[in-house]
Amino acid sequence: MTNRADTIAALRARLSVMDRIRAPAGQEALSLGLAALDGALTGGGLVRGGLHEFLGEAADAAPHGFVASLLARLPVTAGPVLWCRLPPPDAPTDKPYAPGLVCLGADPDRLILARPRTLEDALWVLEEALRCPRLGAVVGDGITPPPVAGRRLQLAAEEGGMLGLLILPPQGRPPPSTALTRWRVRALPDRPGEGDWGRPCWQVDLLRARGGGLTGTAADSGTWKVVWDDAAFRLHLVEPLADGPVAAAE
Amino acid sequence: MSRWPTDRWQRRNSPGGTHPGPLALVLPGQGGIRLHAVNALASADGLSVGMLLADARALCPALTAPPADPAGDRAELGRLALWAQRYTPQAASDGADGLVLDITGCAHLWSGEVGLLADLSQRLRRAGLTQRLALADSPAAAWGWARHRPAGADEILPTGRAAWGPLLALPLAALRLEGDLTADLARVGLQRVADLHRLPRAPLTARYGTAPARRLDRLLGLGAEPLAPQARPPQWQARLPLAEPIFTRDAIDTGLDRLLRDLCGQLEASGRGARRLELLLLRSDASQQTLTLGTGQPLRDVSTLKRLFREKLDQAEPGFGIEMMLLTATATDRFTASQTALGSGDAFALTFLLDRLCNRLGPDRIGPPLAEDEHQPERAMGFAGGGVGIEGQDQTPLSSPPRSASGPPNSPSAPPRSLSCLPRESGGPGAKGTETLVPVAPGSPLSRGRQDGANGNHGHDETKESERGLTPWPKAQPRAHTPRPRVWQVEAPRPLLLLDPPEPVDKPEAAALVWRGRWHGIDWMEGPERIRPDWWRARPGTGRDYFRLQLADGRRLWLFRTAEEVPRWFLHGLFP
Repeated sequence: MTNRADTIAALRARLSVMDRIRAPAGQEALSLGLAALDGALTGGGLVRGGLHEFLGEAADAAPHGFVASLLARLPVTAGPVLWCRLPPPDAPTDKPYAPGLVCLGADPDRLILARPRTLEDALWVLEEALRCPRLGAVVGDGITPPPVAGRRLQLAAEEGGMLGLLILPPQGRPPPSTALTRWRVRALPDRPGEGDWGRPCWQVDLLRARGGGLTGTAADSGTWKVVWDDAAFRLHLVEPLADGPVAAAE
Repeated sequence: MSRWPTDRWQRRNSPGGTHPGPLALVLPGQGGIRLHAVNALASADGLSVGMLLADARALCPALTAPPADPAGDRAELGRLALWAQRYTPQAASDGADGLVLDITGCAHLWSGEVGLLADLSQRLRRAGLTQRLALADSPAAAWGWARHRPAGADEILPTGRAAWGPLLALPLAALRLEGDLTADLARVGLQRVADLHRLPRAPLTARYGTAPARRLDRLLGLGAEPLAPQARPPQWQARLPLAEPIFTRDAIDTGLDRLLRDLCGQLEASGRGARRLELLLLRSDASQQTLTLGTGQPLRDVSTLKRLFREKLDQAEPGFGIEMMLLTATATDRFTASQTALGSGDAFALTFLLDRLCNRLGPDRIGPPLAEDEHQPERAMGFAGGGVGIEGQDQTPLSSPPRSASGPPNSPSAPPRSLSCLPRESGGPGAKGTETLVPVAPGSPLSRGRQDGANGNHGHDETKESERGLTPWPKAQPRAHTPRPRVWQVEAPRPLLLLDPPEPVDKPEAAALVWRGRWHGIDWMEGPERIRPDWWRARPGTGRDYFRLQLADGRRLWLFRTAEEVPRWFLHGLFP
């Protein structure tokens, strides 16, 4: 009996590695920098070899900031990061700004910026980059891959064992995708009373995660309020506000 | 070099480069075989060009008379012009027996014009070529001065109007008019250039056409005479003529495969790798298409290059069919074979990826951000277009092809000087007697010049220079080595997304902002942080006061107010 249970557990573990829910042995998932966030995911962080999507609001750099704080957590031995930005049609002028990355602890010298002109070019760049095992991570900024292209990207990331971070452009209802996790990050007003004045404050929602996620926790725990500590260069969890969450968790 | 055909024949056929007896090269002409060119000994015996071979043999029984090869002479003269590009990039062959060099801005490398002429003269003499050099303001003046100057005159003409005196005293032949025209002008009593210069232009042009006046202007440096420098034939090139025009992608791929094999073989034989490739598709309707490709490091691997070309070939348009493919390596570098460690077969993957991205997106769309030493926020981050400066690899950006150490700048202040060289005619004006002809061994200046040219640096080697104590040519400074602050200096919070150019916003009241047509309440606002442009860009009203502010919904923005009399507000960035 115990023998069979062990076998089933081992098989489950292997399946979860094959499904990119857990990182394979000898490899660690990329921690989100906060135990509460990591604990919500079965893999204990963002697993390489797949896509992770981040939604945001219009004209809001919060998802970019969250992704940049993730890039700062990449091991120093990892290769450079390719940041591929397709400018949104309504704001064709903004671009990732390296001094801003420095403020979030990421190293701009490890960054390669790509600025494709069209969605086709952008998807091609992402696919090629996700297949290259020498990169540290690939960021797709302002790109919503159509379903088939999204599946291709996911396969490319699996092939290259690459961490793909997609910052989707603001949109009403994002299409379903094969990404491993999907998050929503939006800016929160800071709380001057708490000493957070002027620090980046975000509300991070985990919308979905492959392999369950949110194991053994309450339903509304998919929402966290975090603040970036620009002195310690790490995220902090914000205590729940007295008047409840600003936006209902989805 | 009016003895160019015979000199060339002697260099090629005579032991020691000198033919001991009279020599004439012959061609079939009107009424029999006629002399095409004669050497100095033959003309001392009274032979001249155009004479019948039978008459010549009667005058000079010891005459050697091999057939002439005018096409070969012309081709060889072109190669000599390429060799002369060691002095200046603007060198070309001139007529059938001359070279013309535009040495503007190059003479200082040879410690002046005199040094350049001496060096050129010495090298040509050692190569066994009879020559006459002249240096003047315009190519036409140099041509006339080389061929028709009076005996004992200096080979360098003064610049500007001071040269008019000697030039006007030249015979009319120095104008380089068509043969009939010179004779016609001589028939009406015009002997010297000055005679022509004195005449009114209108009747002259009405009677003889525009040529005399035009040539006169060029001789005196009043009319422009462009110089087309001899184009160096590409060194690494593979061509594939096709029996039938091809249309399909498969056929193009196969053709490219063959070309790459050929080219990579050539590159391997010379120990180099391609940095820039050009594929020329010649279509059957005489149109053509060029596909260019750059690489981040020297490559000569067929399969790698083929994969790089795969995306480029999507743009190929066969049209009515491709009937010839031509693959040229337009820039190459020394190929350093690096041994990859076991198990790190993907060490090359990153450069390869960046090459492909760069080739598809264009070199200005991909690259690492560069820290610039500037105050203005939008200038503080540069963009190394196509530069692959990752992992300490110091690569030249793809946008600029690798430079050779040559390419002297033209100094606009110096007057253009042209140089023409012409063989010395014994018995002619300015002759000093017969030259001692020296054989050209493989290491001689002429052949070495060609080797230098073959390697793409038509400069001079440094040992020679130091021997002669000449000014060394300043070394080309590689652009990647310019000192850059590789440190990102951040004194104050900076946005993560920068709007470039800044977006104008309205600020009707202190606690409100109208942006993209919508009204936003302001939670708090911090500032100002005054940022001025660097002093060489600073003008009144160019300073900016930057404010960090938070909207009621939590978004944080970076705003600035211009330091003008009526300040305007702009949104410059988004904080995370």
